[in-house]
Amino acid sequence: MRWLISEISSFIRDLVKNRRLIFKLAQRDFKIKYARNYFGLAWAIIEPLAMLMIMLVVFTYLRNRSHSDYPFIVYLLSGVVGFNFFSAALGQATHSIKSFSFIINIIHLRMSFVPFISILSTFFTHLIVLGISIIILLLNGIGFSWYWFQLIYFMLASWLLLVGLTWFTSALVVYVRDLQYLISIGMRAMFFLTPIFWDVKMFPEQYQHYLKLNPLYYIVEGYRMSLLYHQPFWSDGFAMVSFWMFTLFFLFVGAYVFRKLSPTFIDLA
Amino acid sequence: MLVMNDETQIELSHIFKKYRLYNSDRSRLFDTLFPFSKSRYKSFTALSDISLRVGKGEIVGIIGRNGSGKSTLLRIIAGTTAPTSGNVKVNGTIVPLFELGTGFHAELTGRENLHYFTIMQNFDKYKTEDIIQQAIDFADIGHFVDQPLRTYSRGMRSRLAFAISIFLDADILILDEVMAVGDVYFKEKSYEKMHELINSGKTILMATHSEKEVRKMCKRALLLQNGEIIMDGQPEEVMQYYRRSIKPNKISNKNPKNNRRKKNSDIPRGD
Repeated sequence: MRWLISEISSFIRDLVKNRRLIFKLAQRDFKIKYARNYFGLAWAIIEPLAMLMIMLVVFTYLRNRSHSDYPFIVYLLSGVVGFNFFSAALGQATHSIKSFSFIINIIHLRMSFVPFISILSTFFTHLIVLGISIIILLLNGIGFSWYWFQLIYFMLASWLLLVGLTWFTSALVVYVRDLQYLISIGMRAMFFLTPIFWDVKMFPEQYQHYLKLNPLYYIVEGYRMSLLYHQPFWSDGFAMVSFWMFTLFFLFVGAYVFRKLSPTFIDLA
Repeated sequence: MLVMNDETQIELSHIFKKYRLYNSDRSRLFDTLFPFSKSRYKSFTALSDISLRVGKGEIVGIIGRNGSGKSTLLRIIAGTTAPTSGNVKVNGTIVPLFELGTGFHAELTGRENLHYFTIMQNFDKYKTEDIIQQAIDFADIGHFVDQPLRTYSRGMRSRLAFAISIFLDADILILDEVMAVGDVYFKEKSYEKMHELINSGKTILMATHSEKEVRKMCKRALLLQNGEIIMDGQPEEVMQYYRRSIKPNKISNKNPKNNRRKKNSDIPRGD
């Protein structure tokens, strides 16, 4: 236990010490992502908006109209924005050991910061998209609320889950390339298993608990709690406990696997 | 023997670097994750029992054939890889310049690349912009500096990378086969700048295949063979020994005409 506390505190100390470097590396990654396109950064906005339009068209026909009190675009947008961040960050950060392998050769930065940098770079996009989403929400008559600041808690929560998860996946994918396909299939399944375009209330009470076991449920619904419902983050206790159990589990497993595998990256990545 | 400075800049004692060679990534994975399982790897020793002391202001050339451990040694000194056992002590800041342009990205402009490279080397505390401007002036690549790196020629890339690492003003410079960059004019300029650095008391370690560089710049040379330092002394002596140790038909092309004649006369004999 003492070992754990000293590990965590030294990690945080290094994080604070290297904050400028980490920020700059994330900024660099972000720039590279959009450097080659004619529209450059605009794609960070166009792409999710286009996806949103497609979903809007498709699901407007499919969905059950009886449940939500909100316009469908509002409901969809407030849910998908958190999910998209998670999904993009997981994909990017899983690759991060490979895409940042140059770091190993020139500087001695803790390798465990690398997935972190990748998540941060995706987070920049997320902030832009979130800003636009909020404008759309406002245009659709959703008023400002102090609950919006609760998003910070849900961002932090998704960060922690992402960090644990991507320590695990990014280290393992160096050895098992196949993992990236599994993750991409998994995220596609998650898109349907998470209440993005459907509402959990559409299901009978006894099945709702199973759906809430999914850690993404808490994030997606959490964004809605903050943006739409104006509920505190503890209002769904079962989903909250389930989420934090998953997150702690992945942080432990991720830290263990990463710690074991990272010394070998230099020979492999 | 060599006269060394009092102030030690780099000290290595009994450095070993061993790599584990596995048949497949799968067995490496299992072995790493579950250390108590049965190991199935072959050990490969890249460096064995290296002890070395480099004083402040020394210019050391490291020579040896491909795979003799030059790069591994430099990496260990630079701290980008850890030795399997042994101690490394380095006083002062280091700029390692390995394969040219590591850390540069093709989609970023020259200026952006220099900016991030400088920050990555943790030199952001100093006047980053000044350093970058000096490097740009030295590299002399004109308007290309604001173009993406992918539009550069190889020579231009190398010049930029070389220039920035020189102007970072570290105490120790590590060069891995990077001096032979650019055209004749740039080479002259680089040598000049290197001499300036040498005179200002920088410690320089360089791995190279070029005899000329060793002769021109170094005061001391190390010969590596199979991960061991087999010779440490005056560049002239070490170079001679090195030339004798490699295949005789590969020596020197000081006299290309002679060589060609020899080759020609070889042909009938071969028949």
